[in-house]
Amino acid sequence: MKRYIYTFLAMLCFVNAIAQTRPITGVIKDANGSLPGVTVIEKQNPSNGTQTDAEGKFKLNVKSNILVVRFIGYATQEISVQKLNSVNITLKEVQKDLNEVVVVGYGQQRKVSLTGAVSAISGADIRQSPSPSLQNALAGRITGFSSEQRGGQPGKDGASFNIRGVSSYTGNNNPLILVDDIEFTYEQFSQLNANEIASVSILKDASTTAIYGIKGANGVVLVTTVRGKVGKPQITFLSEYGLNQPTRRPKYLDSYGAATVVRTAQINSNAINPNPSFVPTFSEADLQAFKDGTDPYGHPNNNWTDLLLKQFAPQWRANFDVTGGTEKAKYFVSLGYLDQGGQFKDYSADLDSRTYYKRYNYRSNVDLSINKNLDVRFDLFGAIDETALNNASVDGNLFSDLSRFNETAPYNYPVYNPNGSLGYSVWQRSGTDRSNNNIIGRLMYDGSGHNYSNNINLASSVIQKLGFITKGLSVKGTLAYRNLYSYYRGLTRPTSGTGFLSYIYDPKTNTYSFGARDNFYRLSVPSLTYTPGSTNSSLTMQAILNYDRSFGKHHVTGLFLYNQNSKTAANTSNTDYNFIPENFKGYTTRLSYNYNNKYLLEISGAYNGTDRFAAGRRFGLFPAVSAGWNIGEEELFKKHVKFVDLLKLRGSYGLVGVDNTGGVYSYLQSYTSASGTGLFGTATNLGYTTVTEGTLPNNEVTWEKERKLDIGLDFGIINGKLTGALDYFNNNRYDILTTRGTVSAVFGQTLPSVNLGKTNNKGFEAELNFNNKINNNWSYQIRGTYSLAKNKIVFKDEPVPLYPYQAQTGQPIGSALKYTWTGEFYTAADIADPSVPKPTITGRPGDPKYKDLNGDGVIDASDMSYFGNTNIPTTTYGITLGTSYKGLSFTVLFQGVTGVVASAQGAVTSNAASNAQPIYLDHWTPELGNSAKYPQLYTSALSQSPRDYYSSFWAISAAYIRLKTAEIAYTFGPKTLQALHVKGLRVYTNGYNLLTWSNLDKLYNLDPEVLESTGTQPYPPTRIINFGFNVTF
Amino acid sequence: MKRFFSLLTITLIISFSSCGKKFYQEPDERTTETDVFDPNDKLGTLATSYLLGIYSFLPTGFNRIDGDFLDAATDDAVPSSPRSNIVLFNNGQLTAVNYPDNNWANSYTIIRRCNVFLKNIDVVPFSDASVKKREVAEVHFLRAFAYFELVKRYGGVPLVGDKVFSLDDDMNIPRNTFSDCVDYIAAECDLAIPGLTLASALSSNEYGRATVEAAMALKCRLFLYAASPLYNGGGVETNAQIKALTGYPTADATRWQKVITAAEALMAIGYHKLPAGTGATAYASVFTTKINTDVIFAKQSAASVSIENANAPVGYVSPNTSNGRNSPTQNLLNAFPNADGTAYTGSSTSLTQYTGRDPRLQAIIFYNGVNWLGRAVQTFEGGLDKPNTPLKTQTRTAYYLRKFMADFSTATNYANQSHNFPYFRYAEVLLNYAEALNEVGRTEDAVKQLILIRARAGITAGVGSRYGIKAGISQTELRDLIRNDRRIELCFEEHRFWDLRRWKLGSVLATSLQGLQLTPNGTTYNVQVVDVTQPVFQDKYYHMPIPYSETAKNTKLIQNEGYY
Repeated sequence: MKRYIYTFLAMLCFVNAIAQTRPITGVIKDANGSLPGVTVIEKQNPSNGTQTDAEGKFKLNVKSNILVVRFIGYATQEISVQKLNSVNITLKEVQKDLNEVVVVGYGQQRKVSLTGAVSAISGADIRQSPSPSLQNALAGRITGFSSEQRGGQPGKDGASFNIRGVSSYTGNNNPLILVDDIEFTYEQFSQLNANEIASVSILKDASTTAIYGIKGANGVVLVTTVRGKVGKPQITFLSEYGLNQPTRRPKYLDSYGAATVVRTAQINSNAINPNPSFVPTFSEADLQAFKDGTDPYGHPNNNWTDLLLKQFAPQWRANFDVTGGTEKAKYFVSLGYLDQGGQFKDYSADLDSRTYYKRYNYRSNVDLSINKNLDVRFDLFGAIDETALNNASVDGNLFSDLSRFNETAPYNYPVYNPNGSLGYSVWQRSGTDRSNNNIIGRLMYDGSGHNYSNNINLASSVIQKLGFITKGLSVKGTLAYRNLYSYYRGLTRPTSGTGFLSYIYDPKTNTYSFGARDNFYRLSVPSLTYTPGSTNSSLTMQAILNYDRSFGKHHVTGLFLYNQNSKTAANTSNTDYNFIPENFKGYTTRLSYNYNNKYLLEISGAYNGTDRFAAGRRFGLFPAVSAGWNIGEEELFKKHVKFVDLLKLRGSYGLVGVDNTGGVYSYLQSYTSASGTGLFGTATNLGYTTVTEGTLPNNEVTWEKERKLDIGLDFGIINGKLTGALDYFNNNRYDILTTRGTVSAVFGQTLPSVNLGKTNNKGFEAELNFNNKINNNWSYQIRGTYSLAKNKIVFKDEPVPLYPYQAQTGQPIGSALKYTWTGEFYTAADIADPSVPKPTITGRPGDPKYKDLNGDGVIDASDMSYFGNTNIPTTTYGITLGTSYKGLSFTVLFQGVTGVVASAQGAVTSNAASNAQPIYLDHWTPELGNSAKYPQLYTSALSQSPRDYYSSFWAISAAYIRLKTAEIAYTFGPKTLQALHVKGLRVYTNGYNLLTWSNLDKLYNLDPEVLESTGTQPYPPTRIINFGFNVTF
Repeated sequence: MKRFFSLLTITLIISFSSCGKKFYQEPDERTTETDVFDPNDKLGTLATSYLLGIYSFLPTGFNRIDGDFLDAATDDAVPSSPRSNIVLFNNGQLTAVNYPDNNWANSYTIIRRCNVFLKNIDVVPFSDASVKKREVAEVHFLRAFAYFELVKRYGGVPLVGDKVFSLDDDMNIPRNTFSDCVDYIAAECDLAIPGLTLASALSSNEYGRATVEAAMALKCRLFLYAASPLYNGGGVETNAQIKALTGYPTADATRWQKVITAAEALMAIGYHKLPAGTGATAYASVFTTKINTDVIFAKQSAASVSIENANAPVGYVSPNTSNGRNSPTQNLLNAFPNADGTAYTGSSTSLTQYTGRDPRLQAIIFYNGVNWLGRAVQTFEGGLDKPNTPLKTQTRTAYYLRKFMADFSTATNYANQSHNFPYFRYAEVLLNYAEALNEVGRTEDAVKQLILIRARAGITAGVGSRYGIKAGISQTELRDLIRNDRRIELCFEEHRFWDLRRWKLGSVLATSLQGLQLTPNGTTYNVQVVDVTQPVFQDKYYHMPIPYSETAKNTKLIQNEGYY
């Protein structure tokens, strides 16, 4: 059968082969194995040629004796075939980058023949970053990827990330994540061990994402894991020790400074509204006592930052891999361990109050070759982790307590009394919102909460080559199961009065009295909090029919995929939907045609759907087309522009959807019943069940869609030393689920979301690589990436706002309504002058002056507008510099963003609520005037408030440049290795977030990646300095 | 070949094995419309629950606006925190985008729910027809109540009838005239009255559901407003169309008669009356006794200490946390007559002004020296309840609001109390009745009603048992007296805000509000009257602005005059 078809096809192709020629067969390889698609021509008769098939084999009938073997990225060879009937040819690479295969959905493609927009990074590059969350290693290295690391709590320090910015203003902008073609959650993604990663690809345009249909519009992250290689078992052991510290260590004024600030604020406030009996909280004598420290119990001076935080928190990572195998069976087995410590000092008394993250990763990737045509892959992998966080904080984050004046004023209380008991003070007791007990005591007695998760994955696939039906045909079946179980357990005591004992010591009388709570004599019994946990599982099945074949200069591939997935999870927002399987199924196809690597055409598409929408609205067709022209392969170009190795123009256009829009089950209407809320009768607690009509259903709800256009140029010049890619994209998202804004409330009911919003997102990306070898020992690389993505809301059915500047339409997604700061502060003369517009809350001298946009003489909500940048950067760039000399290598990555504003809207920057920061000393005074850096100090924020009066005074550019990663590594040479009896040894030191330059941290000591709406000081992202070695046996 | 087929079979089995089962599954356990209005449920259990759910949308009254009573926007009180949004009502900055009491969406939510009920209730085969009849009647009442909430704020609003809107409906609906709305609300009450339960027949575990008397009291107040100067041809609008939307275009004195008829109908039933007892204790117990014959209809809430926590003097701390949200004014204090019912003419700065006054004063106001939780209230400068510490909210007038609280003067801790906000009280009906009688010239009949109120208040009967009302009082004099008594009897029950408007007394809304400053001086105090705030009033504030978001969405909605 096989033979007949082969012969038949061969006859079709070579029907004009004539009798006096002789056949030559051969196999063409490179260092890694057989090469498909290599051009083989007869030198004397250039019109006679062929290409190698999927296994690198060719057959050519020749009259003469010299063959020319040409393949992009390899040195062209001339082979004499005199007296030979078959040849084995090994090609030598000249330009590594061009030959790289890039992982695309359900397969691989060579960069040369790629028509879509894909950027990729290798596992080795990722491993230069010691950050435990995988996504933190990607920023600045690849184009089209942007991320914001909002926090640094161990186990929760993964950045949120987007591909080519954001496009939806209501839905989820998270890209689809696939690991070895199996869908992963975000949590799982950040848990991946960098050591197991072979490469990460980012799919950005329609031609590469349309195959995912209703899931691809936010872009796709593809991760491939390391697989076994033929060879003797190779055992690798890696151990790393790192030092972790916040990128910005909180810095506050000491007691004297803070008390001065409070006193000034009180005096200033009283001056506005004089009270004859006003007495400031701190007298001059108090200030003096704070200054000279003569009364450590009555006038304490605590540096809470140093009392609560370590200088460095340790991080330890170890990895143990075994890889090897034969042609029949290959394996990669890996065990990983990570222990990331928290920033807080360990004061644990009887309950463990440490904050940390521990993770155990395991992976076993096995490839079996049952026979010539049948391959089996069997992967078992997962992670077990534990995230611990102390319960000492009132709101789950001790950094927030550290920033709040009411919790940790430097003079609040002595930590310990002279008799060793925990201190407290009258000041702390008598104030409002200051009822929490001694913070060190809280770290001693309040315990911690532990979140455990166990993630198990099984993925297996079977590949059957169907060469006996027709050459290049194969079928693959995949079955994958993912299971994530998590639960929480914590022991705690109350943070306010009743948890443990503290005492107020009076140094004047040398007596003790009750601290936070009267008549309380013992440590309370800890209470247990837990969530029983739930299982989140997913079952994926795929069947793929693959076809890959060359006919002379024509290369054809085809893929047909059926896939189906069922997920079950707890639904925290609506328990009605708990554990209902979310089903997905669909068909995907991709057909490509390539003429001599010169003209490339690909058509792809998916027809798939999910049961989260109403019947009839579930399935959709998402087609895409792309084409490429390798100008560099044109004979004319080859002859005249010799220094150019690659010049490819490509473009793609297509339709992609995204279904995680929040419109789940919105075609169903639920009536909500609430028991006991209808109060009638005389009984005090007896209520009646009430039922209310739920949000109206919308049967029409469906996924969001996006039309994606991408035009790109790939180039490589000077023997592949300089390579690069340029991309322009223009994406139009439509059918964004939006609650209609123009329906009158006379309607009387909450409206369902309707698919009607539109946004546009366009941008530009550039990537440039320069690799040079100065001599055999010394080489260097420079890589630059630049990504720009600008979006705007085109339509969202908002009612005509009173003032056009309050319309969101036309503004970028996520823009915040704010006042415009004029750059000036109110002077006393301004306050007295009724013609100067002032806030509705009476303005005060030294408050920021805002623009009266509507000109009504009053600063109120009507003067807020949407303007400027959002909290998501428009531009991300990175520069990687690397050099290696013999065994020594050195790499640095500078990463930066622009087009972003940030501020912490809450207490962090507000004088009345936050601990006194050094910038408060630069507050407004009549003398300083507009050159002040901070408003006048008052006891209440009023119109200075960063939350109630959010303005461009607080929202400042958060553009930054970071020394994101740096690595120095030394690989030992054979002599040392022999002496040590090991096969390989590498020692290195690397770092993460090492240095940051930004305006925001200079002013308010905030990390520039802070979330704009943050109310209190977040757990800052960390800087990691890491040392490690990697030994192979 | 054989191997290939077997493999293909396996692959297909793996891939398609689950095709046999149902592809989608839905949350079948959720409650749907047909579960609520169930054609098989003879008890109508969930339909009744649906009706009870509508009650929960009725407005709350206590500390409703940013922690303050609506009355803190009148001359009776000021918010203790000058940052409270309630100040928008009298600082001249009330606009269509800055209106803290926008009840628009909430009322239309009630109206839709009522309409959903009326549309579907016929499918439920109630075995007891009287249950259905009563529930339908309650829905008509609740719908009328919701419309009245709108009309008193905005004037005429769109009447949607029984329409349950669907997504495709045109929502550009014009406003109906004030006259249409009054007729509609009255008609809805008339529809409800025959089906509702009499208060006397209401079982104690259903207390709080609408009664015949509640519908009658609503009608009485509706007619009272409609007959009042602002609405009865006295609109301030220059545009005739808007004037017709916000009131009757022409005056008609006979409208007062409807108030009399409605009040008399309610009185004729005979269940509601002023409970026995006189003086401060009797007055206060009306608000803390869940069921009493004074309260006709009230917002039900579970017994709690929320009123004490919100309004008692700020010097009481955990576990008796007290936040002193409202500061009653000296203006209100001056309105209290003497114990014999004659007007108080003494000094506002007198330390003895609190004795020998209308006993209700003790039930309504906390002043310096009165006992509370075992100590004297200290509202002098630097006292526990007016410590003058920065950042602390405290009284701005030396007074705190005591009304609605139980007597904790000697207790050590608060204990849960019934705190139902009264929408309608018999005392109000009497005052409505008195006002209407006086307006139609039946002055002495009106005096009789006022005497009932004054007697319960504990005012001494005096000469000829006229409770301080002079013999031969004129219509004008009595009008002022009724208004003053209404102010005291119904204070902090959301009456004064609307009363001053319907009486067209913008001038009163613009009077300077005063408080006291007591500076300790040995064992006594130096007392000073201080101006706390100078409210701003413009004629446009007689009606509230329709929310800008609504006029922007509904192009046919005409905004009230003076607002954009």
